Amino acid sequence: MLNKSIIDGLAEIAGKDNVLTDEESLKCYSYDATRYASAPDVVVKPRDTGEVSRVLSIAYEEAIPVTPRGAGTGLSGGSVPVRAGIVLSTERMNSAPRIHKEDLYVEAEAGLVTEQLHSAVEAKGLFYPPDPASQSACTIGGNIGECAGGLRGLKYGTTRNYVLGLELVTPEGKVLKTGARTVKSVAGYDVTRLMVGSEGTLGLVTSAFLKVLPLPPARRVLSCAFSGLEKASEAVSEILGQGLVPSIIEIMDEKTVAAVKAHTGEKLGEGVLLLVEFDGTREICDEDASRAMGVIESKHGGRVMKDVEGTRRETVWKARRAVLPALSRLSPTVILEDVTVPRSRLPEMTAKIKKVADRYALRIAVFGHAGDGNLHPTFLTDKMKRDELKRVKAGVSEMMRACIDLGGTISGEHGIGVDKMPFLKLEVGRAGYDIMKRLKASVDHKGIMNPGKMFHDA
Amino acid sequence: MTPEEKRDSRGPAGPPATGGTRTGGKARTGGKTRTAGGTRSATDDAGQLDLFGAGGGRPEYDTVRSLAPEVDRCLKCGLCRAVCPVFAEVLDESGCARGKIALIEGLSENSLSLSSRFSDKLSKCLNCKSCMEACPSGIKVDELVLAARSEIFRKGKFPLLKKLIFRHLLRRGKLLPPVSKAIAFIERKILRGLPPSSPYRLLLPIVKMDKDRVFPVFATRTLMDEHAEILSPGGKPRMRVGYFSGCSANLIYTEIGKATISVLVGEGIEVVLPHEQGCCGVPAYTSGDRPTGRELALTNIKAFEKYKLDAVVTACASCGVALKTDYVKILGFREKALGADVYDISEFLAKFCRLELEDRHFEKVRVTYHDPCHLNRGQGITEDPRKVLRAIPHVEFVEMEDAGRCCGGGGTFSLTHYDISKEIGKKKANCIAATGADIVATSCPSCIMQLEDMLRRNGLPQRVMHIVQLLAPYYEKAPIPLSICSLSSSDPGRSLKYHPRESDSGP
Repeated sequence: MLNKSIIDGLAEIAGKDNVLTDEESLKCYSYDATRYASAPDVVVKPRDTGEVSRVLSIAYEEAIPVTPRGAGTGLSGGSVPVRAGIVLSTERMNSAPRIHKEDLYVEAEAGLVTEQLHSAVEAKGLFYPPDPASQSACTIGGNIGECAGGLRGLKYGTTRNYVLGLELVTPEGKVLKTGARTVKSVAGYDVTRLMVGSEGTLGLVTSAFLKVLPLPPARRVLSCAFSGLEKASEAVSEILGQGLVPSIIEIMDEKTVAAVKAHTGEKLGEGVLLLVEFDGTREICDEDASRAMGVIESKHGGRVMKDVEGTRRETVWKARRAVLPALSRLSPTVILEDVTVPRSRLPEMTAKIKKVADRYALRIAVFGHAGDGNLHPTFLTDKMKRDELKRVKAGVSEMMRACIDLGGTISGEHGIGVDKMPFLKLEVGRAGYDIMKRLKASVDHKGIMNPGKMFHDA
Repeated sequence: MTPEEKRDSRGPAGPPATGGTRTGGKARTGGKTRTAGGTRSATDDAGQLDLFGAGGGRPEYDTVRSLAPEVDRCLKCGLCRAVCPVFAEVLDESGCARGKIALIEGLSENSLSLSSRFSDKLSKCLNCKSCMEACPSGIKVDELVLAARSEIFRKGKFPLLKKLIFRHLLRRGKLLPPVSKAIAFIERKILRGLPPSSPYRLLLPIVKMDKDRVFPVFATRTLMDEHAEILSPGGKPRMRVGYFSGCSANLIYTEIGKATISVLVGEGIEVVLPHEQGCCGVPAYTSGDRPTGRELALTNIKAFEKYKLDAVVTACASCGVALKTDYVKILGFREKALGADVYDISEFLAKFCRLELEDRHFEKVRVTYHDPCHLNRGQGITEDPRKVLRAIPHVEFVEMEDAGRCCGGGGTFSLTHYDISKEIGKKKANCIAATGADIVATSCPSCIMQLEDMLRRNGLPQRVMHIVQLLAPYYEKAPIPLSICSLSSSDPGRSLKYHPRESDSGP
């Protein structure tokens, strides 16, 4: 519990209505999209950088934990206030983005909803590629904190590739700007890049300068059915081997496809589904799509079920969006993982997942972004069944190790948060872990920024 | 135990009581007492009439603790934040479904209590069902929120004014017409001279009304006053249809009721307008007062089931969702309790009528359509009203952006949370204005009330009409002067201020 003078101090900064201490509000700000939850002592919703700075000054002075929160849609527990203290919600920092078309960058506040940024820039013929599945609700600040990805990672990378510079508040409450508004910049350490994916453990991002691209004039998507994961993975390798760069390649295994079919009633074909999208000028889309079709149909026994462009692509993406809803109806608890391997190792990774499922007698559905090697093995379980949960834990652990052995990473786009803390050292090694902790200690020496995340022994 | 609680418990013939301490014996006593007093318990009656289905009355949705499995299914993904109109205004997690589900979870885990803050947060839901459309897990948010409100009604704090209105005004259906006529009298004789600039409007906040609010004008003669129970077309009717008018078409927007009747009769259908019908119950049970909701439902069921009907039609989206699904899902009556399938008027027309209208050369109008939440998400009907509008020769139909977004009315929501309602309504008003339409048509009197207020409040000229009002002139024997169906009024906002409308300014 925080004493009254601190609460009053916070209310003076953000206004009484934006400092919440009633138990109902604390309950509402205790969770994110994982199964972790922990109530804060107070929720503060500052309006701008100045207010954030003053809130952090108080927190620093009094050594109060601060957990930044955008929309609470994260998948690693990043915005769950595990050490209580302040939840700093950026909900109110959501003014319209400032678009600089000729310089191809936008200025966006931390609380701006990603999809609103998409529509604002698209209205001006521009394109901001990161498209996490929660884009309709999640915020730019949260995307930066977790380095959010999405479907288009293959061709366009993730949030990190679009952040030119940041405005941020240090744990002491100092305001600074990092990076530049230009693509090129080598002025000292790349603090911008350090902040992206730092999960709010080093400071609080209040706004960002984001790179945008010209909006591709055409898009065309193929929906293809394969007899098995192996065949589909081979096709992916060969499409890429031919020098084609689709904007998206999504994969859904048999379990996933069956669940989506049952859920939506869509005709998706049998077996494994591969969704391949091309973007660019119409000519390029058409040419690339027909080359890809050649690879899919002639060599790998795939069947193109749908081939659509423009807004009709929606009929294909509807099935992809239905994946999680469909899977979540199969079991009371779904645990979504985020392993990512170099593309060429995908067949090995999927084989390993299958082995894990057999060995621990688990139900695992696999879907994900095949183009960039990012899979979302989804464990279908029931949190009430203690014994099964134990096996899930063991299975996840084994899968993580296999992923690292294949040269992969334990999290492609969800972050470490609370969820993957036990595995961080496994991936980055003792020395890697050590340098991260030294960085953390030198920037946030009181350890108030999002404590209890990322490092299991901090 | 309060009488409400007694009435809410079920006798042996009804579904099992869930409260644990409430026994069948006590419930029977409650029923008998009321029989002596002239009214019988709704659930007792319903039990005798076998109005509950085999599973009976969804007792599982009566207590918050029993909702745990549904609450548990929430993935907490937060996608409801993207679509919730209340969240967009309040920018607080408790505004969206995920927040409310967390609150209900807190209640069932005993970490939260039924405090006034709790009920205030639960009250900030329009029941627009947008979250349910976006929810990956298909959580029944409406049923969860309504069940929590029902628990608040039984055990927590419930506003006295609402209780008074539900218990005494709505439940005793007979009182409603005289009261509404009294309001009509006051509006015409007293408020008539109260232009928007009048200082007396400053008194309105005393009755918790915004001083600039545009009020609906109550009718001096109700729809029931003006129509017999059986309305036959010339010749042999091809169908016999019960018309559920709802309060609005009976007491306020009688022209919607008249239009609905003319269209149906004009289509060669015999219309039955049971005068015993009353409020559908939505305002009561959506606020948590299920006992009153059940009694109102039972009155309506009894009013309709004595006729042999091919269908029941309503022109109110909210009444429609009540009769079609809520009577079963929320109140626990059996399917088709009214004795026939229920249709929204546009659904009925699209299904059973040819809609081949002879061009009467009315002045052309540009019309856009607002999807009422309770027709669109509540009943899954979006195409039928558009089909009807497109069939009208003098209508040029234009789509508005976000036609399916809630207008912010939400029945009593706009009274209790006018500040939020106004902001949501403003967005809708802007979407309407952007189409350049002359008229916004819709299918729910509750939306009409809100849209009229919002358009005026934002200084916009569009008129608001129910789709049947645009259709009705084609079914009149002789072409009707346009002024009567208010299609060519020079001052469209005129009828919305404190002046009686031309159509009901009687002697």
